[in-house]
Order: sequence, then structure tokens, then C-alpha cells
Amino acid sequence: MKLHRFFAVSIVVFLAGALLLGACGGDDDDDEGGGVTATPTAAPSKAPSASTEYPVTLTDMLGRQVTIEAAPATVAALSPTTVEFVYAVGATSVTRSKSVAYPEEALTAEDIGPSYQPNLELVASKNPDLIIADAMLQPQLAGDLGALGIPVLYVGVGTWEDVATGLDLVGQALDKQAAAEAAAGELERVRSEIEAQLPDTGPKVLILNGTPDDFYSAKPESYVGALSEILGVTNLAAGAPDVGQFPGYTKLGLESIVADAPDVILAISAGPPGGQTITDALSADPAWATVPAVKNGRVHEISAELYLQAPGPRAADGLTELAGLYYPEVYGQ
Amino acid sequence: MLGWTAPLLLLVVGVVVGLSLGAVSLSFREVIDGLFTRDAGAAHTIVWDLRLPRVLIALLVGACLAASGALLQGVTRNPLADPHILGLTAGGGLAAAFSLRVWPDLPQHLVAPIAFGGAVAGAAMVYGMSWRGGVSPLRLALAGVAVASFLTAGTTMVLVTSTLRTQAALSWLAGGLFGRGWNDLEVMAPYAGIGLAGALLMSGRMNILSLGDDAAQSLGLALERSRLAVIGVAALLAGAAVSVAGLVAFVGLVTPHVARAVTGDDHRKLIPLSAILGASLVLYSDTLARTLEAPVEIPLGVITAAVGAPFLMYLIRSKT
Repeated sequence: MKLHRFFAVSIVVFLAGALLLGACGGDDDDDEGGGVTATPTAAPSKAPSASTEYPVTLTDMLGRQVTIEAAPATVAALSPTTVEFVYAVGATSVTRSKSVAYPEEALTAEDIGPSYQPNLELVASKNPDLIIADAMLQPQLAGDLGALGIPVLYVGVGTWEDVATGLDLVGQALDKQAAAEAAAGELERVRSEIEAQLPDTGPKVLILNGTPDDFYSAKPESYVGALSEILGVTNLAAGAPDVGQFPGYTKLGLESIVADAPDVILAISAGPPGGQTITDALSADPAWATVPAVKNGRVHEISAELYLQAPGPRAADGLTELAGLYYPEVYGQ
Repeated sequence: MLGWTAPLLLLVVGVVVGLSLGAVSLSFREVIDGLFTRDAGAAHTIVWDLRLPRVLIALLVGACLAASGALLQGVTRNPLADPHILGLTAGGGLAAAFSLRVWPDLPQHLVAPIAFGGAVAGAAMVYGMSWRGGVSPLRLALAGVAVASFLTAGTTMVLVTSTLRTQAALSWLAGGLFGRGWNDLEVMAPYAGIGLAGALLMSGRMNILSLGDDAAQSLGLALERSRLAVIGVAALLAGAAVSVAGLVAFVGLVTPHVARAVTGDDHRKLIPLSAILGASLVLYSDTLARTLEAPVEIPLGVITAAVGAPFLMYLIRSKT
């Protein structure tokens, strides 16, 4: 009988654990969702295009203090976003992760494997003076990278504002402040140009990510959702709880999607190139036929690279494209 | 003594190969410089900070898993017992996964003791479930299988309900030594050292236990206390291994069989030989994991299974 009691107790413990997991799902995801929430280091009032005086101590986007002794001659960036930051301020990286596709010059840098498991031997073999790691993808590597004895600066992008913060940090670290400010200024110029023409009311929007059979909806807390918020759309996934692996994404049932009647649907399809996309699947499925976006041909495939894998300095391209998709009559196509 | 030369040689060669190979190709000269000179620059970082600790951790993980497997196969008198199948590593995995799920910023050095605690808790569950005024080897084995599936289900539950970032922090669970360094070695070494010493001390008693309950009792052995001690040491060893390497399958299962084929059933030889062979198995497997598809790493468990399983099949075919 003792055995039975023991078994019953362990089942209760197990279920209680599962419930507890469900309960804490909400709050720990919240702080993962909204981008990198470190305070920007840049003193907003600093003189334009100051040059960096080394040694310089910066607060990176994980909130760590990083001291750089001298202007780094060799920089190793470890993810698509960080590589783009380095090139955006006019420097070059000796490393890149496997999935880096932009800029083209970066493809000649050493491929160090996937962003979540970069090969540290290859990084060390390049003798970098500074490692730039991704605050969204690689915080778990902080200890391992620290063991290399090379300063590590974390930058990452989850929101529009993060791009300027990242540019500023990388600019200061590499003594490329003029280029960093120019890039950040261009971002703001594009944004205010778009905002100047922004209509008062926006479309109801759904942004899907996944496969045709299993997709998640981007909330305003995701990167693509954050760009869409700037454009004044009504995001139908707003306020729903986080579901799935990606912070800032949720799962909406087909019934509620049909009832909410989105005007525009954007899709980031996962899977092999040339395979069936979410867009294909929606147009073929009669259940979606009454949805205004499908009826009016306003279902668009958007780039996984630009909106998911490599959020960063190309945010203005993203914002411009999204503006065109949401308001074709204003911004043209 | 002939039976010892080959395994030890295999181990030494493994260390040399493990230090020499990696995603970056270094000449033998550079490897030696990297090992003995501080100002060898990148070579020093690569050999001393990245390869050497990883080689040493691979040795310890392999030794711990194999010794744990040998103990468990002896105490359950079941050739299929190993720390994986009996729920010890599963307990460690679930404890670590659960803590990281609830507290995503958990510092790495706390993960090891938590995983260790989970392994001990897993062992306690197995022991508690099989207790009925005493534990029988058969009940122990069955309870182990039940607890293992139960805890593994819990780990899967934690994984599917967590976000990508938590999953990245949990990627070590899949089994592997990616990014392991001196810190991790420092954390695991005491557990591993005490566990291995305990396993050696236990080996005489293991011989008596394996004679069967009646014979052991008539020889004056305190059966239950001995079993509890053996399971405790096995849990310590499994906890040490899982805390740095995650769930590495097959090592604890296969290696004792290989050792038995070499040296026979005497646990005083079987346990140290298992430890040596296990160390080699994990070391060679991890070297392959690092180099085969570099710069992408192959999960260690895939290699240990790919190397271990055919070997076990060969042993089964050739012995029967």
C-alpha cells in the first residue's frame, strides 16, 4: 500500500509542478518580450561626433559594464544583428554566424557556426580585440565568452529604439561615432518622413510566423510588431498571452481570426525555400475565404531575415516596406 | 595486467588527439606552445582555455557515467540498468530544467548543484518506490524505469512550455560539452572525485551483492545498507556527469559490458576499467562532435549512441 501512496503523491507533485509552470508562464515571458530593456548609455547631450577616448567603459545592452582599453583593430561579431551593426558604423568583422546574409562583404568573414552555438575556437583564433555578442540570442554565452579574456559587448534589437542604442554603443566602442550618428539620423529621418504622411486610422493587422500548419501571431512586443505599432495599425494579437518559443508571439485560433476580420495579413513562413508558404495555404483554404485580407488580396509574405533573424540597422527598410503594405494608397508599393 | 595497457594507452592517445584537433587546425608545435607558454596568444586560449578543460571534463563525465552504470548493473543484477534508464540523470535534468524555467537568469554554477540534487532525488524516488520492507533488485529496476519515464515526461513538459531563450539556456540538456570550461570543471570535480573514490571502495561489497541476496546475507553483509550506499554513490556520479554534460545516453549502459568482456565479473577490476573505458568513449565522442561538422557541433549523445550501440550489438552477437 505504501507504494500506491508514494505513486499518488508523486503524481500530485508532478501536476502541481505543471500548474506552477503554467502560472509563471505569463510573468517571466513579459520581460523577455519587449526587446532589450537596458538603459541606453549614450548621454543624449554629448557633443556631436565626439571621438572615443580609451580606455572607455560602456554599459552594454545586458546592463554589463564593459571596459575597452584601446581602439579595437579586430572585431568579432557573433550574430546577424551584431554583424550588421559593425558594418553599419563602417567597421568590419572577422567573424560571422552561419546565417548572416547581409552585408555581402561580411560573407568573407570566418563562418563560426550557428548563432546559438558559435565555435569559440574559431573566435579565439582570430585574436579579436573586442567581441560583439547578441543580447537577444546569446546571453547564455556570457560566461563562456568571458573565459576567452577578451572584452565582450552585448547589443541586441527587439524594438525600433534598440537600433539607435545599438548603433551608439557600437559606434563608441569602435570609435566610429560619426558613422553611427549618421546611421541613427537616417533611421529617424525615414521614420519622421513616414510619420508625416501617416493616416489617422490604420488597418487591422495580423502578422503570422511559422509553417502553414502551425503559426504564431506577432504581438506589439515582438520586433515586427513594434515596427507595426509605429505605423498606427491595430494589431489583432495585442494583449494575448505569449505562446510558443518566441517571446512576443501568441497563438490565435482560426475562429477568432475570422471574427476579427483582419484587413492585412503579413506572413513570415518558416521552412525550405520553394516550399509551401503561409500565404499559399491561406489563399487555398476555404475557411479563410471570408477574411477581408484574403478576399482583397492583401496577404503578403515578408522577409524572415529582415523581421526575425536580423533585426537591426536595416529597420528603416523594414519600416518603409511595412508602410507600403499597410497603406499602399499613401506610400505606393 | 595486459588487460590494462590497451585501455590506458587508448586514453592517453585520446587526450593527445583531443588537444590537437578542433575547428582551428594547429600544428603539433603550436599545441605544445599553447599548453606550456602563456604568451602563445590565440593558441594558448584555444588549447589551454578551450580544449584542455573540455578534454578533462569529457574524461570525468565518461568515468562517472560508466562507474555509475557498473554499480547499478551490479546492484540490480540487471544488464540493462544504467543511470539514464533508472531515472538518476532524468532527475538531474528535470531539476535543472525546472529551475531554469522558473528563473531564466540562473547562474551556471548553481545549475550543477541543482542537477545534482535532482539526481539524488531521482534515486530517492526509485529507492522509495521499490521499498517494501526491503528492496529487491527486480523492483529496483522496474521502479527505475517508471521513475525515469515520469521525470523525462516532466522535462519535456518544461521544454515545450518555455520560450526560445529558456530553451537556449537548456540546450546543454540535450547532452554535450559545448562551451564547458575551467569553471565547470571546478564545480564538478569534487562530486566526481568523491563518487569515483566511493565506487572503488564499494567494489568489494559489489562482488558479494552480485552473488544474490541469500549468499550475501549468509556472508554477513548488511544487504539494505549496502544497496542504499551503492545507489547513493551511483546518484552522486550521475549527478556530477549530468550537471555539466546534460543527458548523455549509452555510456553508462554500454561501457560496463565492454569492461566485463575484457576483465570478467570481479567488480574490483570491473569498476576501474569501466571508468577508464567510459572516459575514453566520451573523450573520443566529444572530439568527433567538435570536429566532424565544424564549426557546427554535433550533439554528444548522438555520437556516443552511434559508437556505443554497434559495439554493444557486436558483444551480444559474439558472446551468445
